[in-house]
Amino acid sequence: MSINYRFIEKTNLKYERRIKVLVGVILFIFLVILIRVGWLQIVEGEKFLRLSQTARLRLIPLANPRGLIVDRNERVIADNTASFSIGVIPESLENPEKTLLKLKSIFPDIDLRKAEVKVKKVKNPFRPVVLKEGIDISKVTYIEERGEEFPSVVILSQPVRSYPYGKLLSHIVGYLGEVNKNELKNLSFLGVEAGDLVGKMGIEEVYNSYLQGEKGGRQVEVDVYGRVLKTIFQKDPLPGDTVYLTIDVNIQKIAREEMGNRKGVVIIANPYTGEILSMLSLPSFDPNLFARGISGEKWLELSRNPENPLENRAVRGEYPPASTFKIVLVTAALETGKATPFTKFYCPGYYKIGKRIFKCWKKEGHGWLNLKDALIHSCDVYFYQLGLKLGVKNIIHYARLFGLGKPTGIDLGSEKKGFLPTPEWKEKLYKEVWYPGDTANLSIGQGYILVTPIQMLDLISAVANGGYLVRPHLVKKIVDENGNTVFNFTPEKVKKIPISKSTLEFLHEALAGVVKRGTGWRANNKVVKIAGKTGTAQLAGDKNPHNWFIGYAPADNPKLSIVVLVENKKEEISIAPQIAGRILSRIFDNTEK
Amino acid sequence: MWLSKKKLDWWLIIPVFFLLAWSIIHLYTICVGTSYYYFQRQLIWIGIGTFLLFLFYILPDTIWFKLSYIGYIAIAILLIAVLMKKEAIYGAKRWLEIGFIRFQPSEFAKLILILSLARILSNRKEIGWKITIISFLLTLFLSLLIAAQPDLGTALIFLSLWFVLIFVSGISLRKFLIIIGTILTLFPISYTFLLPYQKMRILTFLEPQRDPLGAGWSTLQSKIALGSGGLLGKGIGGAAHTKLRYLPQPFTDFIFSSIGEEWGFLGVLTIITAFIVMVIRGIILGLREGNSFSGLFITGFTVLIAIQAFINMGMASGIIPVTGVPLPFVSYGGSSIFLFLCGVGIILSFSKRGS
Repeated sequence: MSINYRFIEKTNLKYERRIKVLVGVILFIFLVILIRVGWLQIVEGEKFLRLSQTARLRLIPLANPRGLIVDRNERVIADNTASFSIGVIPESLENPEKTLLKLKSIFPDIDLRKAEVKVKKVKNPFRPVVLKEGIDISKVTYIEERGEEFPSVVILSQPVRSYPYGKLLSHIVGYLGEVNKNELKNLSFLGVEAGDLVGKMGIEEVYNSYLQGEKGGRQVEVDVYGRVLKTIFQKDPLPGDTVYLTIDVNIQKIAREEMGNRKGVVIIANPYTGEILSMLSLPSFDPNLFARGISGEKWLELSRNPENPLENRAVRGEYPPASTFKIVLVTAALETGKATPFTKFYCPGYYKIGKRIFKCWKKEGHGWLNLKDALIHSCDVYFYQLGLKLGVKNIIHYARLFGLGKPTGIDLGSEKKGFLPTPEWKEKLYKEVWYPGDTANLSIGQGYILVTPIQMLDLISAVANGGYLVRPHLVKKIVDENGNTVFNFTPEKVKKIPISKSTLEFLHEALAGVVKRGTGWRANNKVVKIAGKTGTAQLAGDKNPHNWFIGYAPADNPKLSIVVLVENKKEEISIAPQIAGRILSRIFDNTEK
Repeated sequence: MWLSKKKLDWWLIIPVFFLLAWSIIHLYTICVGTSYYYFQRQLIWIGIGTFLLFLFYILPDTIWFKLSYIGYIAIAILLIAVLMKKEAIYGAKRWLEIGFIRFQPSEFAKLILILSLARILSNRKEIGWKITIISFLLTLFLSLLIAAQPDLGTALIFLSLWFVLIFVSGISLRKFLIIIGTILTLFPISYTFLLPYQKMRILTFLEPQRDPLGAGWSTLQSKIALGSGGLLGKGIGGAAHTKLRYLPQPFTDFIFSSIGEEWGFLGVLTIITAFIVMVIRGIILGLREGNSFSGLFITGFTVLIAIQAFINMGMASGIIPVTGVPLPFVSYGGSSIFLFLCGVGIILSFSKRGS
């Protein structure tokens, strides 16, 4: 018993030693905790207090509505609507599979596998994961009414640009896209940040600084789910200005209907002010596609389309002017005195320069013609000879006076300037002299010369308005949210072309004759008398020709000038004057009623 | 008559009820303005737990020795039953429903394990390899069942309990050093068996900047909540970081951080003091009993309190990886509250003889 007792004594001593070690270890780890917490709270307390506050304070950008774009009758062309997307907050999502399955039953195109990966691999589980964008308002209300059935499901709303007329006005209004680095440099002073949408084309681009407005912001205290608890500071958003266009949607619609499924351009303007009432480039695209961010697939489809639907042919298409250029030759001939209205040339249907034979479009020939009849019937042989008599320098000089070879200055970005050839240019590029044959080709608007439809509008407007080159434009005025006009387009006459009154009168008579009894007879109609000039542009290769009509109406008191260009339509020769006639008759028919 | 002889040990009782009071008051203040769900339920758990404490206190202390191995078998069955369940909560199977009662068997397994280890290791003049290995296998079996839930934190607590108990019950230093050597060799190997989320937690702990929004989020928010409390705290109801729910699990895993935010360093100091008093008193009571069954149980259970307090507070202050280990007597949760109050009840029943 005593042995046993000593044994207990001994083990208890060992036990005591071990317990002391244990107590030491435990006290040590509690001390570690105490020091650590003291460090966090006392030494670094200030820092964490600041962190705690910044985590709770958030700057919520307040989206400002982008300015509207309206036509001359205040019909809204570019509007703002709300777009809804649906998302989930992964942090509080207790049964992701079930919730996702339930959402899929409402939105069948949610990819369950992808969505699950998205929800589970999220970096910040407190930020909503967007599962589907652009959802229907009816589905929004469906889900909102059944909130309890959809825990952690949130509906996010954002403003989105909408273009009620879709394809009709695409090249004029343009479209929006995410701001790129270069644009950011120029736009950052407006508060534009990466990820914002800015105008990428057309009016949206050119007048972006007016349309953009200014974003507002609200500094708020939020909980971890982003619920706003208290507003601390607020800066109200500034809506963008309203841009009033010179466009008349009704006229645009008429032009669109008359062009049918053809490719080409229609421009209609006031020849005195340069106000453009209609500008149509076909084929076109739907700018609404870009409003929510276009898919890569759709973008490739549009940008690689060989028919270039994204290109505004009215200002960026370069074509040979063909016979419409004969207006320039007539003016040059009369102004320089190289010819009079009575100058006659004979047309046997062809003309020989050296060994080369230049044909007239009329094989059997026109016989003897004076200047007026030559223009009315668009006799090529007459103009070969007139051109040779004038010389290339005079022709190019008058072409320049009419504004060819340089941009018109229309308020649309990236306008092309066409091309006027000179002998110096040809020698430099081809190491070849300028042949008389080149002059002959130039005289009928073929060869190297290129013009844009908007340049031809300027040219024919100058003929109609008494010789003034006016700058074509699309914006009438810009009005801010308080109704103050911040920009007003005052019609400016770029310059007076030195054309005498008699030359203008001669042109007016001749161009009226073109429609009355010449190549433009298809433009004839019962409503309005039209004056103008046709053209058929021969293209290199085996392509079908383009068909031009440039003109104005009424012939004796011009109110509108018009350019119609139809691309590649062999089976419909002289379709352009016919379309111009139909469009103008419908416009004047409407205005008279 | 016999009840009056059994004196309560106030040195142990007071810090326990001090922490319970903290728990209730704190849950109340962070519930203000929302729902009192957590506050009310915790009140019920503490009520039932207190009843169990006194029940265990007055029960004859001999039953625990008898119940230890039976309890071991029962808890092993329950843990297997948990693993057989189909659905998981937060990706883990920890809960078991019997009737309308829903509880975590792994919490009660801690109590059972300490009882079993106390029984096998008690009253031995020398701990031989045989006993060492048997006791280790008993521990390992339960640990593996819990690690499979998966709940690595609790499984590691089990292994540490064995480690501490084998040390205090008198294993020779030579054997003890061999065990430490083996553990150190096995550590890197066992890392490869961890699940990706567990590895992530350890990596995040080692390098918090690694993933500030994912696994590092909890630790970061916890440190912000705790640190922003400063010396005196933000006052009752002023714990914005907790209230705005930046702090995850403010009622359970991170209750220490939210107390630190509201009450500052002074609040933290009282809590740590309460734990120190409680643990030292527990160890003194254990020492009084020697390396007997009751002595080892008291020491083991006191060590459990210390380990959990250390892990929980270490996790909240960012010196230990995030594991879902509740703070004894303070964190919300029925299973945890019951476990600790039952344990204290058993300690009190053992210690009434001595005094």
